[in-house]
Amino acid sequence: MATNITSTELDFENIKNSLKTYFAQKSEFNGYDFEASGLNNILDVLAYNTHFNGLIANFATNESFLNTSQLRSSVVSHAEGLGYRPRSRSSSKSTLSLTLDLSAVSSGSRPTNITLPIGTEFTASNEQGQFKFKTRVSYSATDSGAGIYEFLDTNGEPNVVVYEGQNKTKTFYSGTVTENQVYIIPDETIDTKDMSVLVYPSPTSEKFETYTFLENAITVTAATQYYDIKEAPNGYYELNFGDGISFGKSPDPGNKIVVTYNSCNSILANNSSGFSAVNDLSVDGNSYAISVNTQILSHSGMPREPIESIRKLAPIQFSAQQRLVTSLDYKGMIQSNFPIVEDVTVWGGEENVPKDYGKVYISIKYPINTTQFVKTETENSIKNLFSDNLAVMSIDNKFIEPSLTYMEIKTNFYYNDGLTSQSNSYLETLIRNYISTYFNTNLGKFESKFRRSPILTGIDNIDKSILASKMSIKLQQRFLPNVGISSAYDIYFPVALASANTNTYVITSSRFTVGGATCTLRNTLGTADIEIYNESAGKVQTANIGTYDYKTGTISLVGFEPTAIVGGSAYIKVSAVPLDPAVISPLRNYTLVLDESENEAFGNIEHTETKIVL
Amino acid sequence: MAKLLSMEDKDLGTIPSVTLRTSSYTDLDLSFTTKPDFGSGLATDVYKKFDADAVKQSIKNLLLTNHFEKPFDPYFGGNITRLFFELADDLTESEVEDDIKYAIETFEPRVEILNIFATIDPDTNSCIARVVFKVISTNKVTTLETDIARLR
Repeated sequence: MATNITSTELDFENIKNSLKTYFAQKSEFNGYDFEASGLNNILDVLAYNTHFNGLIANFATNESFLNTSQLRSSVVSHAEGLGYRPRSRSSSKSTLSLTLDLSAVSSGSRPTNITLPIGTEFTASNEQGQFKFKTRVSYSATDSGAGIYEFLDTNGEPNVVVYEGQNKTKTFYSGTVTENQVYIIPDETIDTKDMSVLVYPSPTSEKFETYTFLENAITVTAATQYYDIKEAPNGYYELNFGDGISFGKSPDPGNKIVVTYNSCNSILANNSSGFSAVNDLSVDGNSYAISVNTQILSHSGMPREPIESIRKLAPIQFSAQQRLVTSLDYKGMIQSNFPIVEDVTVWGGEENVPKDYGKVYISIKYPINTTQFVKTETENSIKNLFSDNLAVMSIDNKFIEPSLTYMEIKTNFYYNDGLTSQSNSYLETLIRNYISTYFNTNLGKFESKFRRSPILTGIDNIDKSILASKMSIKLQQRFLPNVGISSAYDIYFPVALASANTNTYVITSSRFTVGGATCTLRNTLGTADIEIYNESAGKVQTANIGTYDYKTGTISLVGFEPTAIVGGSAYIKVSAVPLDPAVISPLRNYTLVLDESENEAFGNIEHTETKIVL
Repeated sequence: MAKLLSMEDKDLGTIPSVTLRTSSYTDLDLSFTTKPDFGSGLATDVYKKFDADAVKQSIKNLLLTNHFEKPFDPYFGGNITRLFFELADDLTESEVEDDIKYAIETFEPRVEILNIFATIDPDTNSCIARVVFKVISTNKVTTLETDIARLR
């Protein structure tokens, strides 16, 4: 969140009071303090003028820094100074499987190849309405032998990618070179990744030169034909070219510049389905219906980059300098280029458990309901478009799913029943809900730490009747065992665990059965050994089924063979007491979430009188 | 026989029997008219208003001010002209008088109202207000008579 430069000293009342104080020391005018007096009216004017100038100075100062800017135009301008381009809208896209049926045509008359041209249009709809999609590249299909043509991409896969939006065209005529012309496109809906800029020598010429986006240029010389597009202060877009001297070619005076861009509906078009081609495809003068099979609902449509994102990512991108070296470089690159990514964490293989040198581990948190296809596509893009080009050689990426670590919270609180009319159970519900809300608001992201004392402070402030509170915490990992098969398991916790003691169990688990007996896992008191405890018989079923290492937070099970899991779930919950329950700092790809079924609160009435005998 | 007092009590004989009375209230004259230079050609000061005149100017200023005109004090003023945007009826005059009374009692603690008369002229959407008041510090009774009218 941006901070503001304070303007409280410039409040109208403060200024006017200062002027009144001045007049109070003078005997010449003593009617100043009456609101209707003439002098008071003049004080109003003076104070208002000072206040107004002060505010202007304050606003101007606010807008002068990236951290304090409030206006989008200022944030974008500061980001530009750091070489950062705020994202434009991005089109929603979908992957289709397209076939054309020419089986009715005799094999001798059928063409060998059929091309699906660029800009082939499709329609699809969602609850927001109907949207148009189109192809950005051409696809070709070959005869299967039976007259069925399936369109394939360059990898030979039947994946035809279509993007939402419609083409719009703007035509400009170049002025004199000395004026350094900037061409304004008054449209905020541009997807800048889908633009073409053609320069014709004259208004009637059919020949043209294609200019490419500056971001894609490898080297720029005086003859390089590139264009640059950026967001203008009013939210529109500005197109400009090189200077024609040393940094890129500039269109000559009188040249016609034709800009074609995609105007898209961004996020509104996501989750569209029911794709169908707008027109039939013409082959040798005959039209054939395109058969469409939607592989995936449309996705990845995003609005323009919000201000807070620009504020956060511009300095990171600047420090990365278009290179991927540190973990922060990767984070900045991924978050600025892949708006679908909600959160990301990156660490080197040398920090991984087990260590894996020469790798960069990336864990990405996507919005709920993101399909595996989209995740795979995003990860491939990160690798192909960025890390292969910008990262240190011989360093590979490894994508890891985020790992949830559940927390079990038991809260004991003490309250004065004379200060509240609410019942014990009502207060308990209040506290459970507070903890649940706290987790939803503050945790669930990478590197989000759990700190116990702020929660306890919050609990104490929920109601004036609550006098004190305490909280016991356990971490919980869930694993899917091979039921009926003897297997070895390593269960990792993101923090160090408490060392074994002779009074309480550090490791416990949910119930499962072994040969018909209901059992749980636990550590043997006073040792780091893990045993299977038979609850039905009240005795240890199997001693030394594994061990736990409290320093690394790892539980290792050997020859573990449950027969079934009690409770209907497919997983066993393994709970452990952390070494330091005051602060839980999850490492790497771990995120902390609350196990709602283990969020318990217990109220105790505390009477104010002190008893002499306990 | 000369009578002397101590130095602490001062000698009454040296104190003049006539002293300059300091004005309770001093204000700028809002007409901003300058004093005559009597042919000297030098710049002169603007006129001031004192006591009852200063208070009278203040009340006139108050009655002619509408709500939201004074910066950061939106409910300051008599707000009387709003009544002239409605059709005048038998109650309008008493409404004007009530508004004047409320405004003076709220914003002008220097006076005590003795009487208020308002005469509405429905054809011109205006009124003549006559306020008789006493300046509390001097007990001087003064009358203010002013026209209040719509500007448009």
